[in-house]
Amino acid sequence: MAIILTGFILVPVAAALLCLPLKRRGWLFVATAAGLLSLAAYLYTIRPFNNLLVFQYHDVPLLVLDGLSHLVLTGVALAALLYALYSVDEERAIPYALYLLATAAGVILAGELVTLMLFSLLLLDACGHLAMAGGKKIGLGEGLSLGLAAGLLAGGLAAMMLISHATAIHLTIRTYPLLVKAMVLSGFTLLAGVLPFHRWLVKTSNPLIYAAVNTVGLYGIFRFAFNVFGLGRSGMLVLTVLGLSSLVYGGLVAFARRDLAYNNIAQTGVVLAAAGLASPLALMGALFHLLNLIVIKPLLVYAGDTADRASGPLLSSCLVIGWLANAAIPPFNGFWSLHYVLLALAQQKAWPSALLLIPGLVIILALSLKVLKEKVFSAEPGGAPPVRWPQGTVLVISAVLCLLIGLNTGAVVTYLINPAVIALTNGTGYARMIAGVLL
Amino acid sequence: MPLLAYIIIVPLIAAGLGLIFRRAAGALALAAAFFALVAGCLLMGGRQAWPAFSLLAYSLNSGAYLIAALITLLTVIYSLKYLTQLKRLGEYYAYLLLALAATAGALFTNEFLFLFLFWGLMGLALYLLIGTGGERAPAAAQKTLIILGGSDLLMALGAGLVWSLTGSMEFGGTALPVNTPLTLAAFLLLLTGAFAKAGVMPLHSWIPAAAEGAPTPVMALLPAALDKLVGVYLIARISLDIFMIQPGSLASLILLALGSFTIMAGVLGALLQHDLKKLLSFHAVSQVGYMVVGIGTGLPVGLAGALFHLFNNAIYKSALFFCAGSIEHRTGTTELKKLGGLAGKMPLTFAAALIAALAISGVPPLNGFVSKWLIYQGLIEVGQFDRFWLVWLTAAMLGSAFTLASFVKLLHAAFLGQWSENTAKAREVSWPMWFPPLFLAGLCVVFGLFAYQLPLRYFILPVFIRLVVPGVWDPGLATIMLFGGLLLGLLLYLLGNVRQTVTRPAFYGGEELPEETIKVTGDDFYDTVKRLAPLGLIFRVAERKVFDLYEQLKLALDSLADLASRIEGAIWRSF
Repeated sequence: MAIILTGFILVPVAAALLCLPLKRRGWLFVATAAGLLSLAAYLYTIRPFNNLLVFQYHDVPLLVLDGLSHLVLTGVALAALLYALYSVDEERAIPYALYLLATAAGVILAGELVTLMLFSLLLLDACGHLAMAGGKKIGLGEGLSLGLAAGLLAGGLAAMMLISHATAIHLTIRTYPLLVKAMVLSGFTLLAGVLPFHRWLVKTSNPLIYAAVNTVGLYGIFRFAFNVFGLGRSGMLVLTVLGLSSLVYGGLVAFARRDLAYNNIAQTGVVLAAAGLASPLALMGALFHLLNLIVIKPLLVYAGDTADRASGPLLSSCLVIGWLANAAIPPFNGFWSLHYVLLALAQQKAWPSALLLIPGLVIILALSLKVLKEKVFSAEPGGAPPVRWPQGTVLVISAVLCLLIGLNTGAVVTYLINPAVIALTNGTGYARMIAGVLL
Repeated sequence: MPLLAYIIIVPLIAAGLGLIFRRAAGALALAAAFFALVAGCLLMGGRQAWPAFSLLAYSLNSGAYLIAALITLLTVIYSLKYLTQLKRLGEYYAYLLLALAATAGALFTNEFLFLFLFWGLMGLALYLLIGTGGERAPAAAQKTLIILGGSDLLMALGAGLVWSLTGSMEFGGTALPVNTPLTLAAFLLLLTGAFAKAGVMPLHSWIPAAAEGAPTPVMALLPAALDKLVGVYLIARISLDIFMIQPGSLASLILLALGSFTIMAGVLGALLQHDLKKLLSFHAVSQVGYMVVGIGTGLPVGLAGALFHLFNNAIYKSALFFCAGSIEHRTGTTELKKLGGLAGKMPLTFAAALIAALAISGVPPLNGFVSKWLIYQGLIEVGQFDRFWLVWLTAAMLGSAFTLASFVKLLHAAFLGQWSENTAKAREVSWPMWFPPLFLAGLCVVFGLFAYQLPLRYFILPVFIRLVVPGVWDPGLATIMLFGGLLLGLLLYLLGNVRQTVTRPAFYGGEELPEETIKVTGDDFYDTVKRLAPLGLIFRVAERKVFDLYEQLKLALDSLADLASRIEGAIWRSF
C-alpha cells in the first residue's frame, strides 16, 4: 500500500514529461493536481488514525507519511490544483510547475536525509525555473537567497549524516551542535520566507511558489524543530521571536505598501509564533492557520490579479471573503485558527508574545479592511468584463473553502489537524514510531 | 428542533433567499422579522435550550431578544419606504437578517466559543450594513470593524484566561472574585470587547462615524438597539455570571469611573453637535454610561436599573433615529441650522420625537425615568462601600440634566421656531415611516407607567433572587401631578401673558431687519459652553480628535508603517 506514496512524485514528473510535446498542457496539469488531491484525500480513508505509512527500499524508509506530512501534502496538492485552474492558459510555465510539485512532495515525504537533500535542492532549482518561466528575471538577491538556502540545507543535512553515521531520519535523531541545527533550520526558514530571509519570496510573483515553497519551508521547520532536534525552550523562543517579528514587520510594510507578499510574511509569522509556544493547543492553532493560509493566499492573489482586468459581484464577493478571512473575521476560517492561538497564549500566560501578537493581528485587520475599502467599497464601477470561468471557478472554490472550513471547524480539526498535532507533540518519539513500523 | 434553533435558522434562510430573489428581499425580511417577534413572544413562557450551540433562553435574554426582534421588524417596515432608492437593497435586507440571527445567537449562547462566532457575525453584519450607505460609508465601516475586531481579539484572550482559570468555556457557575492581577486582567480584557460593541468610551468613536455614513435605519437598529442590547447584556453577564463584582471593589470602581466618564463626555459631545444624527450618536454613547454605572454598583437595585435602562435605551434611541431619518427624508438634511418649524408639518414625527426625547432625558413618568431612578438608588446605596459615590451620582444626575438640555436644543432647532428653506415644503411621512417611532414612543409611555407590572416583572426581576427597591414610586400619581403642573403653568401663562403680547419689527442700527435674518435656530444654543475656561480647552483638543483612540492609533500605525517601509527599501537597495 505504501508504494502509493511514490505517486506523489512520479505522477507529476510523468505529467511534466508528457506535456512537453503537447500544445494544450493546461488541462493535463489540472488533471494531475486534481488526481494528487484525490489521492491525498483517499489516503485519509486508508491511513490508520495517527499512524504512519512508510515506503521502504532495502529497509530504508524512503518516503514516510504521518499526520503532519499528510496535512502539508494535502495543502500543497490543493494549492497546485487552484494554480493549475487559474493558470490553465500559461503553457510555458506548466512543466516547471509540475516539476516544483513533484519536488515539494519529495521534501514533504522524505524519510531519509539523502532523499530530503536531493529534493530540497531540486525544489530550489524548480523555483528558479518557474519564476523565470513567468517572464521574470531572477535578480542577484533572489539568486543568492536560493543559493544560500541550498547551501545551508545541503551543509546542515550532510553534517547530520556525518555526525550520526546514518541517513534514515529516524536514526539521525540525537543531539547536534548548535551550528548544525541553525544551518538546517535557517535553510527551511529561507524557504518559508520568514524575516530576515523574506526578500526572495517578496520578489517572486508566482502564486505556486508562494504557496508550495512557503508551506514546505514551514513543514521543514516543524519537522526538524520538533521531531528531529527536539528543540528546548530557548530554541522555541527563537521561533517565537522570528514569528512575531515577521508578523509585526511584515504587517507594517504590507500596510504601508498594500503589498500582499508582506501580508503573507506576516501570516507566516503567526504560524511560527504559535508553533514556538509548543503546547498542543498552540500547535493546533499554528497548523490550522497554516491550512487556512493555503486556502486564503490563492484567493487573495488570484482575486487581486483578476481585479486588474475584470469586475462584477462575483469578484467583489470573493475579495470580501478573502480579505475578511485574512482579517480573522468570523465565520471565515482565519478566525478559528487565531482563536486557538489566542487561547493557547492565555493558557500559557505568554504575555510578552500576546503584547506583540495582538497588535500584529490588528495591523493585519487594518490592512485587510483598508484594501477592501479601496478595492471594493470605494472603487469606481468600471466597464471591465466579468470574471472568466476557469479563473472564476478558482475564486469560488477558494471562497467556499474559506467559509466551509470556518463552519466545519470541528471536522477539520479532528481529521486533518489533530493527527498532525499528535505527530509533533510526539517530539523525538517520531523515531520510535518509524522504527515500530519498520519492524 | 427547539424554537431557539428556528430563531437563528429562519432569518439566515430568509437572508439567503433575499440575496437570490432580490425583488422579494423586503417581503422576506418582513416575514422573517415577524416570525422572530412571534418566536420571541413564545420564548417568554419559560426556559428553553438548544445544546447544539449551547443556547439557553431565560427571562432576561428572552426579553432582550423580544425587544431586538421588535425593533428589527419596525426597521424593516421603516426601510420599505425609506430605502426605496438604495442600490443594494437585497444585500441590505440580507445583512439586516444576518444581524438579527447573530444577535439571537449572542444573546442566548452560554459558551464563549459560540459567543465569539455570533459576536463576530454581528460585527460583520454591522460592517456590511454601514457599507451600504453613502460616500462616507466605507471609511465609517472600516473604522467600525477595526475597533470591534481589535477589541474582540482582546476579549478572546480574556476568555482564554477565564478558561485557564476555571477549566470551562461556559458562562455561569464560576463567579470568580476579581482580587488577583490575573482575574483583573481577564475581567478587563473581556470587558474591552463588550465596551467596544456597546460604545463605552474610549472605544466609542465608531458610533459617531457610523452616524455620518450609514443609512439612518441602520443606526436605529444596530448601534442604537442590537449592539447596545448585546454589548451591555454581555457586560452584565461578565459581571454577574463569570466574575463576582463586590461593591466598593477595584472592579466596581473601574466600571463606575468609566461609566461616569462616558455619561459626561458623551452628553457634552452631544451638546455641541450641529448635526441631528451625530447628536443622537453621542447620546447613544452617553446612555451606555448609565448602564455601566448601574452594573458597576454591584448591587441588585443598580443592576436591575442598568438592565431596564438597556431595554429602554433601545426603545427610545431607535425611535429618535427613526424620527431623524424621517426628517432627513422630507428635508434632505440633518443639519440643525437648516431645520425648524417641523412640528406643524410633521406632527406625528414630532409627537414621537418629543416623547422619546423626554424619555431619554429621564422625565417622569416615562420609562427612562424609572430606570435612571433605580440606578440613582443603586449609587446612593453603594455609598456604604465607596467613598466616591457622590461623584458618580453627580455625574449621572448632571448627565441627565445635560441630556434634557441637549434635547431642548434638538426639539427647538428641528421642530419649533420658524421654517427654513429646507423645511418650508416638508410634510408628514407616510405610515411605514411614522408608525415605527410612534409605536416605540407609545412603548416608552407603557414601560414608564407600568414599569413594575410589565418589563421589570417579566424581564428583569426574575434574574434576581432577592431585590428590594427602596422608596416609593407611583407612576399614576406622578403623572397626575405632572400634568396638573403643566396645566397650571398653561393657565398662568394664558391669564398673565397672552393678551399682553405685542409684535414689533426688529431694528438694528436704525434699519428694520428682514424676518429671516432674526431666526433663532437653536443650533448654537450651547456654543458658549465652548468658551468656558476648562471646558473650552477640552473641546478644542477633542475637535482635533486627540481623545479618539482610533485616530491616535491610526496616526501611530501610519508612522510606524511608513518607517518600516523605508527601512525595508533602504536595506534592500543597499543589498
